[in-house]
Amino acid sequence: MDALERIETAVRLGKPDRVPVVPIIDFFAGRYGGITQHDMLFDIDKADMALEKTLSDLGPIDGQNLSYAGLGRIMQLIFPTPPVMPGVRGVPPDGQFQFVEKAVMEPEEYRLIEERGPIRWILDKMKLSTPELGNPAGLLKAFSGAGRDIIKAGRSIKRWRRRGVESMVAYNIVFTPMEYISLFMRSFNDFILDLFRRPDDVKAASRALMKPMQMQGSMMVRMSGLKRVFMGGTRTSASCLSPRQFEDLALPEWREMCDFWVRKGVTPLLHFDSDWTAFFPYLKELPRGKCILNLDGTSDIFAAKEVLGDHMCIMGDVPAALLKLGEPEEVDEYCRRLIMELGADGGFILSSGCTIPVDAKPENVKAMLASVHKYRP
Amino acid sequence: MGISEPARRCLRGNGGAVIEIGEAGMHRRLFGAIAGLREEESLVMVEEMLEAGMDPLRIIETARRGMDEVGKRYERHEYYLSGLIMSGEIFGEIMNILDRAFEYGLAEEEKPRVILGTPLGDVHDIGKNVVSSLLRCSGFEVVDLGVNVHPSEFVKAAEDSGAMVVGMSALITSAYEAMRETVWCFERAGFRERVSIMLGGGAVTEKVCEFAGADAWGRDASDALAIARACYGGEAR
Repeated sequence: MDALERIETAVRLGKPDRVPVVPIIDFFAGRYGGITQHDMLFDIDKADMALEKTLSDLGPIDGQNLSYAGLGRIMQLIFPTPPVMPGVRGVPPDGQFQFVEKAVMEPEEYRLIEERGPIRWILDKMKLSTPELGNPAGLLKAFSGAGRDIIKAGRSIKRWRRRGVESMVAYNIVFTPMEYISLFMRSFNDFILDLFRRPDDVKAASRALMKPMQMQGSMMVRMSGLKRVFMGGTRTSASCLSPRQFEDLALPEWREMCDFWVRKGVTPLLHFDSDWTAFFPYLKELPRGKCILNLDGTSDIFAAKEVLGDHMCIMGDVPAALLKLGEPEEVDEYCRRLIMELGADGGFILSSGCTIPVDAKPENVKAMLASVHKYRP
Repeated sequence: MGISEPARRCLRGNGGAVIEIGEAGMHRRLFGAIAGLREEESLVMVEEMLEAGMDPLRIIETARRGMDEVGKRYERHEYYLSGLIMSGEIFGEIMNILDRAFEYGLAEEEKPRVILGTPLGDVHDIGKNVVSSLLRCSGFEVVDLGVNVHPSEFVKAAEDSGAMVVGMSALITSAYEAMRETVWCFERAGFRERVSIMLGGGAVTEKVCEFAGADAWGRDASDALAIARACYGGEAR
């Protein structure tokens, strides 16, 4: 089997010749490959060279999960709350990329989204962090720069595929409306209060934003040619919401969004950070054999296999702390357990729990990448 | 005692009839409203109780018991982070109402103090804020230093406040070094023996606790509360 067949077999709940390994490796590869995080985010050629050195020294991978390599300009453009970006606005070039909690929307605005038109409203918010989007010349400049980066990223994806490394999602990043509102518009705390104080307004905003979110994702799928989308979920997790809030507010969105992509033949990669364990039974309502559940090490991945193993491909979850502070033997043992227990009857992809940390021990990453060859369930 | 129309609306029983209740009943209703996370009802009750001339210190005590109940429900996994955040908001609003009721503000009683912050290099604050809410619910005074906090700021805050517990929460692995540096800073300042240092956050494990030289670590806000209580010998609540 080649890398793509191996991944696709696991996604369809089959058993490939071996467990595929598909980590989020961009931050680590940048540091290991000797470039700054700024260069990794803004120069795809340098990022590719750094990744090449990493894989050549530490071992091959079947694919890259999400990668921000070369997409810095796009990240600056599309997020209404600008992330902490290495080398930008006083952040050191080798600093760490991070999202920031900041409210850029008042609670009264929920009801205005529909009225203003959701796309125009999102653009208004983007202009707050990127004022140049307010004039046609600035808009053209920003989008042409992003367009060039997308073309370069497309070439990179093809180069890596020829070398047996599949890009899972490239820049196909999609949010459910509530995750989007919480992360980029209202901040976590305010969003949670809104769920108590004005749940109907939040629902109305969710309905208004669903289509633009789907349109944005569809555009990315068309541009990248990759029929998978990365959907981050944190703020609607079992760590945060009560089951009642989840059933009433968040689950309908997750279902609608996943159904939409599956109808289009696109595989949702559900990248679920924080603890989703108590909500695993709800995920049976998503289409069977069509989604990937990617956990970050906080949820109980073994429970996920028990509850959802015959329903969706499980992906994860070598913890960041283990990769940074553990010993290779400990990483090897954890990966062995994942591979032998979760991969025993297929439907499993080995990955990092969220990202391989920028400062992981190389020998630990090596142990993780080697484990899929060492252990055959 | 007179009852205003908003309070009447909140005090209606299932059949729509106003339930006439005495002072003890009002306290019970306030407790129930806070524990049930009913914001509007809680605030109307407090206004009404003040108008009726009830003792504000008893109102605070009832509000604290309501918060305490929220904390217990969270520990029993009947409530989730969302409930904790909502209850913190309700309590803050009640304290604002009570503060406004007194020209010189309410005299604060002495409470066990905890310093919280996200260490240098990390700007994530969700976990820290949740721990802060639960500790406040449970009778602690929290000195929240915010995010990206320099090690020396933790030491200064502990020195100024006399807190015996310092908590750091982080989501990224590069904050481990800042956590360790903070522990060293307490040692260099000669404060290490006086404070207990606890860690938490998505990227923290037993190994991280050992690496940083901290005293304890927790998986969630309930763990943080248990640690803080243990450090104060079971005080608070």
